[in-house]
Amino acid sequence: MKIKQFFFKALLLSILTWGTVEAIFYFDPYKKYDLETSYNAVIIDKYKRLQETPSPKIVLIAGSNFAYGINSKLIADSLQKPVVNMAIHYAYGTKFMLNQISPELHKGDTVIMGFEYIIESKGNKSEQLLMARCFPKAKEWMEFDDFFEEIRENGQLRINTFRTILERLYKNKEINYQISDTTSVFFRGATNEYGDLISHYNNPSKKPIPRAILSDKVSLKGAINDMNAFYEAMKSKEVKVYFVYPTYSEENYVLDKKIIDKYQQEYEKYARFPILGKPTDFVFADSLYQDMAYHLTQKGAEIRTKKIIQLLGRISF
Amino acid sequence: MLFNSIEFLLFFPIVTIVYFLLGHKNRWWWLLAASCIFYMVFKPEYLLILGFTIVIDYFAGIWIENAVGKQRKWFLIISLMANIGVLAFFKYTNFAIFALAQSNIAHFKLLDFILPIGLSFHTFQAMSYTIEVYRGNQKAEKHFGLYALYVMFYPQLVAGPIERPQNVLFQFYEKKSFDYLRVTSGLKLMAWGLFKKVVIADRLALFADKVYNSPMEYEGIPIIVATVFFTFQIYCDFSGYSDIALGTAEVMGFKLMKNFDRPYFSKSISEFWRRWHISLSTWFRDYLYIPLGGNRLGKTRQYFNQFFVFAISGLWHGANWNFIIWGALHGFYLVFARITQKPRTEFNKITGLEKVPFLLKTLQVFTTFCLVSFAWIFFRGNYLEQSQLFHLVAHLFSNFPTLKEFLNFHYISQNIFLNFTLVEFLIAIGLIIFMEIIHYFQRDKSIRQLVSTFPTAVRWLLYYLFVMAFFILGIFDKPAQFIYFQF
Repeated sequence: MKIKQFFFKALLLSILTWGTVEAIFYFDPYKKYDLETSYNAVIIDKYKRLQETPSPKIVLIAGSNFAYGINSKLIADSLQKPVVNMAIHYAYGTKFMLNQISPELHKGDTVIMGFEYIIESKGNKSEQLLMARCFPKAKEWMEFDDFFEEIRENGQLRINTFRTILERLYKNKEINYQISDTTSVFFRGATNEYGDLISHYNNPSKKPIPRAILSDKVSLKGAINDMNAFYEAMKSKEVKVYFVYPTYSEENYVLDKKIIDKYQQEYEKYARFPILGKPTDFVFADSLYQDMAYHLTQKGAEIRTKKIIQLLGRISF
Repeated sequence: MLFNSIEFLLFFPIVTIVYFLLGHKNRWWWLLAASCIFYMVFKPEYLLILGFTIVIDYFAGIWIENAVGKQRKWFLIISLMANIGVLAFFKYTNFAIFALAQSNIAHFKLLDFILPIGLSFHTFQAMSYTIEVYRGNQKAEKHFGLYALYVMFYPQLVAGPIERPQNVLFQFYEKKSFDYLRVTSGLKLMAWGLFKKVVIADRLALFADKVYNSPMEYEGIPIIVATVFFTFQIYCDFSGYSDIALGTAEVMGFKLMKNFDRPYFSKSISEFWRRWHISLSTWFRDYLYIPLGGNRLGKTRQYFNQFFVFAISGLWHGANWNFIIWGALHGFYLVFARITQKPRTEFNKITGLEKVPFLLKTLQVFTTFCLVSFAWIFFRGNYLEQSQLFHLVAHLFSNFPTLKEFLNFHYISQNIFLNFTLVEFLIAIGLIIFMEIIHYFQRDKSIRQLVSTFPTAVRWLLYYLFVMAFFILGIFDKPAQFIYFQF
């Protein structure tokens, strides 16, 4: 009898407490607003363009260094092919990002990968789940190590959402993001039709550009393996795949040269896909950067894009 | 397996339910198998190290009991050598190689392996067994499985409490039944331990880490704030673990020894060590301090013994000079306190402090807290370079603000809140106060007993709020390891 009573009470307490979290997660009063404004929801527009753009097309994939630092129109005009810039945030990881574009690539398409030096294979599961909250299809691109990781990450998403909702209810103030203002950067409407981030164009740049964090203990091998697997899979679909190094501000490059050299060696040693150029091709003066070592200004993006076009031209694209 | 992991959230109920479903005769192997799985989650091959010492100590125990005269001592020495050998090899070899290379005596290649988790804990527990058998306080355990379970019992396998055979072994023979009150009491203790770890310790760690991860950027007040936060962090981290261990064992009907008793309310360093990591301090008292002569061989020898034992206890924590300095510092505090006992008592008389016991006690608690906190700098900075550690100590009281600066919110935000928001800082402080209030109520009566006297609706409301506070305030980014796991 006591055992039954114990299990009943334990179950009741679990339902009451976790049920509160679960209920708030499902009946999130900000869900609609977030779908319209959050940066994660930019995937809805980017994915729509990816699906609707006919082949042969050029697809750009990386983290924010491509989101900030590419002028897709320049590429499209120069190479006479439609461009889709799928870059959002490095934290999604190579596996997730490559899974994201793979099914929508067809014969004749070209993919340019430009992952950051801090890229990981697995990526940040919380970020991936946040995207999936806005765009459920993103769940298909996720890969969990095991059952426990899936439970843990989903649980954490619910708790974090619960907390965020409480905080927003308490503050009761939502920001109205606009491209025209001089502060907003990350929100759904922050990109142009190609998927390039343009919200920062009229924002003041940071001076000096903050120090980036690179570690000589980190290896890019996992990420390179993902790119190799992607390259092989795309080869059979007759999709061309290239890699370009990410952009990096000059002052940061001087400080991190040793580590970047090590990463370059890893690419040269393990990559089976063609690499266009060298890391130094995309190192520019700090004055061309917006707010960090990977984020170019509008002018910086143009210079960088021309460099990519030039490199593509060399391989009789 | 971490107590604060999803894996444990499944492991614990499964192990416990099956434990109660099984008959008494079959429970030992179930618990032993569960303990093996619990340990193997960290690094499966290290189970062999545990197995090696278990086999040696099991037979050593029997041989000691059956032998006579000097032979008994030899069997004890074999057992101690095996345990200390394993500990020395895995924990101190690289330290020795590094020290030899630094002093330019010899240059060997560092060994490349990860320290087996909880090694210092289970080797000490194993040693206490053979010592107690040798002393005649414990009969040698003939059941190999039960002896293995004594060493490997999963609640206390990786971070204690370091048990004594007299306290645990007989409990494995007792038939345990499902006792509603005991089970719920154990679960409440586990919940409180988890709260201390996930909500308080891991939150305070955010503040402490900020300064200790880049020490050269800070001077004065931020170092003090981070150190005070670390003082509470390590307490909540370790006592949280102990609470979960004790609670887990209690659910299954086992009583483990208390490891903490409100240590930051201690009025002296010696009292602090009677309240902090009790199972380790009593281990050193019983198996090192007293055999060295304790306080029986004159004052000078007593002072040496105290200093030596604490320096060794520092070394027990880790193969690092910082831990040795931390232990030696506590040894120095103790010796200094003994030497100055008379003049201090005299001072209290002259100043009239003795007549105001509350003020005297408050001053004593505050002084002890400051001394303990200062020593934690060396403990927390165990991975720092010498120059960084020196910077922390040398700049503890430098760059103090003027009154004008101190009243400036920007200054406070940078140096006291450590660039966290006011709300985040207040939550951290509030949690420390909350915990100390709970401690205050626990002086005479367990808070669990107190809560059980409340009307059902109030109790349920408290449980609900407690769990929700756990969800709202906990740090769940990734399960943080317990600090003491590394030892």
